[in-house]
Amino acid sequence: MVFEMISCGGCRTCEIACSYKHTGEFAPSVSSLKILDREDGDGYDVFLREDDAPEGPSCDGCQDRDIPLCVEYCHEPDDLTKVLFDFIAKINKSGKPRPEK
Amino acid sequence: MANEERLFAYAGAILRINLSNSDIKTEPTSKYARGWLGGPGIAIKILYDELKPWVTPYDPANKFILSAGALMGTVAPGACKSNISTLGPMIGGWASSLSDSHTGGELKCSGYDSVVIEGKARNPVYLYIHDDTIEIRDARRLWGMNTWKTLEALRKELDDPNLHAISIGPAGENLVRGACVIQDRNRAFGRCGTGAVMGSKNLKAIVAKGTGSVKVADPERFMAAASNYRKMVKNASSVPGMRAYGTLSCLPGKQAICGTAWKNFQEVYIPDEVVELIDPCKTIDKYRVGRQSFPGCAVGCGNRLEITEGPYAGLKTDCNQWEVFGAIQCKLGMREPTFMVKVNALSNQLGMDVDAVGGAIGWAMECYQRGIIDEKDTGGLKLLWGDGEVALKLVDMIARREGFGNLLAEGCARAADLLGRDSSYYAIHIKGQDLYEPGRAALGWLLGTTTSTRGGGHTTGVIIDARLGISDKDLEKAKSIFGVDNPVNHLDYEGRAKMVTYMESMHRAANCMGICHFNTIHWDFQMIDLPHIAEMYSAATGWETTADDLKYMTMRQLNLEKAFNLRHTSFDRKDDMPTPREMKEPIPTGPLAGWKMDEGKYNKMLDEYYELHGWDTKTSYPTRKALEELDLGSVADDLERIGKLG
Repeated sequence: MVFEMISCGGCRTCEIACSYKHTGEFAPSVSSLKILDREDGDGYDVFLREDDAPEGPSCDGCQDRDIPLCVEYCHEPDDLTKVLFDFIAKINKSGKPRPEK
Repeated sequence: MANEERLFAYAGAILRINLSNSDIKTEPTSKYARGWLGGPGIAIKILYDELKPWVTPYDPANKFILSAGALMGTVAPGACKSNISTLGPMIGGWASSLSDSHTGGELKCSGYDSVVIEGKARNPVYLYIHDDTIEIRDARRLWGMNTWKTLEALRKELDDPNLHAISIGPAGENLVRGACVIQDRNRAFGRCGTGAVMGSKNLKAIVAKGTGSVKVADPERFMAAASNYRKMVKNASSVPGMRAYGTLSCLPGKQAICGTAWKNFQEVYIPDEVVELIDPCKTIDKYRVGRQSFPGCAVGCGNRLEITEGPYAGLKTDCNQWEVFGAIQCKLGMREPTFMVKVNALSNQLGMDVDAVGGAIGWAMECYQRGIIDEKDTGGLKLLWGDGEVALKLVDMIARREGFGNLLAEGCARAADLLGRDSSYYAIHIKGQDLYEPGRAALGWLLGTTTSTRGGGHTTGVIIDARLGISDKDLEKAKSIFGVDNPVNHLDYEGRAKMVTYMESMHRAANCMGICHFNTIHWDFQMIDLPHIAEMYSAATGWETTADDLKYMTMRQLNLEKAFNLRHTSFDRKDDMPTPREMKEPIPTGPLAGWKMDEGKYNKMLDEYYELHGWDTKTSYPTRKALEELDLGSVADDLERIGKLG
């Protein structure tokens, strides 16, 4: 799923952090979230993976942490938290089993 | 075997590419990592060992080295810098430049810490690095494109709208001496003319995309350090200003120390009525539409702008940093507040160092002011201070080496040599490279730039002197870091040599790690210092390293850079002096009006600097004793052979 996050600055530290959470190594290609360039340099969107895929695992909202690791390394943690909440809410609505966080 | 040692933090391999015969090889990073740290540290070792003394910058035999910092690809605060090092055309010696970068992290995830490129492709090419796939691809249809169009074209060709690339623009293709390499659209490996070297090899761009990983030796220790230091940086008092305005937030400090060149250093204080008009923070507030940051950075200093009024209405780009405001906007006396944004975008598109742009045009405008040149020389252009249209036309002419732009494309030092007519006094440079900022009332900054091995650079040893309103706590911290009683007394000659020596290590350690200086004590004494770098490096690599170890290793690098310059240039003590204008002229206006440098005191400060390094004070040459203490005895033999041992 792709979400708008107007305050995102495109640093992609969240991708590095997320990959560490899943693998214990820094491998942004397997991150559950991806920062997507909008066209014409108009900012960034946030992609969150719903299902495990060959490219990488799904986002589980970091159920094992107090603060999701991506949020810990984000310059705009409140905005990214909101994106995660929206994601989890959409997943829950779809009937797929997910944590409530 | 030692050379096959498995490394942590590093990707583990160095890629070697010969564009003349398309030969592609790898070698283990372990050959260099322990002794030379990373990035520019490894690069100077390779360049010193492998470039013969007769190699010149545009020779196919010259080597162009792109590296990721040792901590790049991790969440270490500020670890977003890649480095390009080579034998550069601006000073004919050591050329090294860093940029915020995505490509370095991708390079590491592909399995490479550095790419060493030699030779020259027969036709324009770009490098494609994707894990084990290394290809030299045809770039003929990209040649001639500006860097923004190049990125667009590569994204389309490779069907990846999020692709990152480093590329040169027309300036690099035309071997403009100050040509630079651009990351994506708006971050630059700015200084030293590395873009011209890349152009001389017919190399248009480098793309890296990796699916691998960066591993650290002690993940728990590393993440604890990275997390704590990130919080430390984020909580520093300068961060809100930096997040809002980047380094443009230093305007009040620069005015207080008369640290901005106005009309080519004729004045060093922006006139009060002009400051109101061109206040860059107001421009940002007016046109900001979003943010721009880079991997790991704990600050996030970039702004995206959309200009909606004035002569450049419609421009959408990233905001520039202080350098453009000082080196071009103020140096050329520009009163249009959005000029800095436009000229930054244009310089990035064409791929040119903003200091080289401002330096050359500033020299030319002063020559025009003084009647040294006229319209017959300029092809009909009236080079009036504050004329944005003329300045932008000249920027374009420089990149294309057209008409009068062909002379300016040499940088102000060589342009003055070529023109003659006693114009050299107005060419403001150090060792041949255009200088962007005054230092006559910022003596720590000054000493760092005059002695910089890459020619007037400010990322290899300067002290920031524009520290308004420093707290007592920070002042005590600064005294303790540098071991001096007067760390922020910018008009004191005493103590500067000791401070610059510390910053030479601090900057180099950060450069080798890939850590941006604006997450360190370079900018704010509450931020990352050598002991923090040592801790992160120890946890990441598994090699216990102290701050003193970092000082030792970075002093080795500095001495090797110095030896490299001694081999390739005729630099000696005379080239570690301020420009004649800075030395001779008193400050004409502003809060420090009347202040003038004292040549005797400067020379005493320089003597102290050489003594701290164990270098001969008459010539500046390293002594055998100093080199042997750094386990560089063979370098002493080399220097003795060419008559340059101190």
